[in-house]
Amino acid sequence: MGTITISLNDEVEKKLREHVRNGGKGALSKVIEQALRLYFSKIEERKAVFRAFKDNEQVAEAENLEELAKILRAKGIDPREVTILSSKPVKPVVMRGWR
Amino acid sequence: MEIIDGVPLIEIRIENPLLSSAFPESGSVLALIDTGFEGFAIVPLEVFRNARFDELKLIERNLLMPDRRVVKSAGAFGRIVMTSLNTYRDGFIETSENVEEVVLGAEFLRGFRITLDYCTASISIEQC
Repeated sequence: MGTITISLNDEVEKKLREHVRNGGKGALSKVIEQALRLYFSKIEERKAVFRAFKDNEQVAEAENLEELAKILRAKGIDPREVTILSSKPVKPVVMRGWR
Repeated sequence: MEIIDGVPLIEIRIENPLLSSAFPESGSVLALIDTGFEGFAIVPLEVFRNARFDELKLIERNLLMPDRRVVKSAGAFGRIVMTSLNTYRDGFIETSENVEEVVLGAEFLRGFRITLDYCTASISIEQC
């Protein structure tokens, strides 16, 4: 277990202390840890994975298109022959300007 | 990055990492930020072809226009490089009829903190 010293905005500090007032020993650390886990999971959600399929078989996977291209090149696969999909699916309908 | 005639514009380069091509070949192009567009990026057909996205297997979808028309678009995965921040995002770059400028949408903006200062007609962008 590590110990970190942080500085918080006065308003946030006040809310935090009120929130853990009756929480007992370790409550402060627990709240901070939970908040950070949630924050990191939100960041992780934004990361996409790109997959290349040829004849319905996955032939490559990477976290970015440059890496995907390298893998395909290494395997001698023409990128024009594969279907690329993202772990974040392309929505079938999107708004192109609000009404 | 600046606001011109009320329109927020940023300098980008559009890359096609799968085919090692880009638009423009050198330098950058101004892209319009449109939070009313849910997608990642939409570009004119000429730009789409110059970056050789049309050579890839395309995904088609529908764009719901403000006047309730449904317009078809086609796209592929590519990269938008923000030249001033020296950073990039990979996402779905599409084209459709009557697209006259490069537009970046809400999907592209995720992961950035963007400030539009209409007092000084400037934009600041930083990563989360």
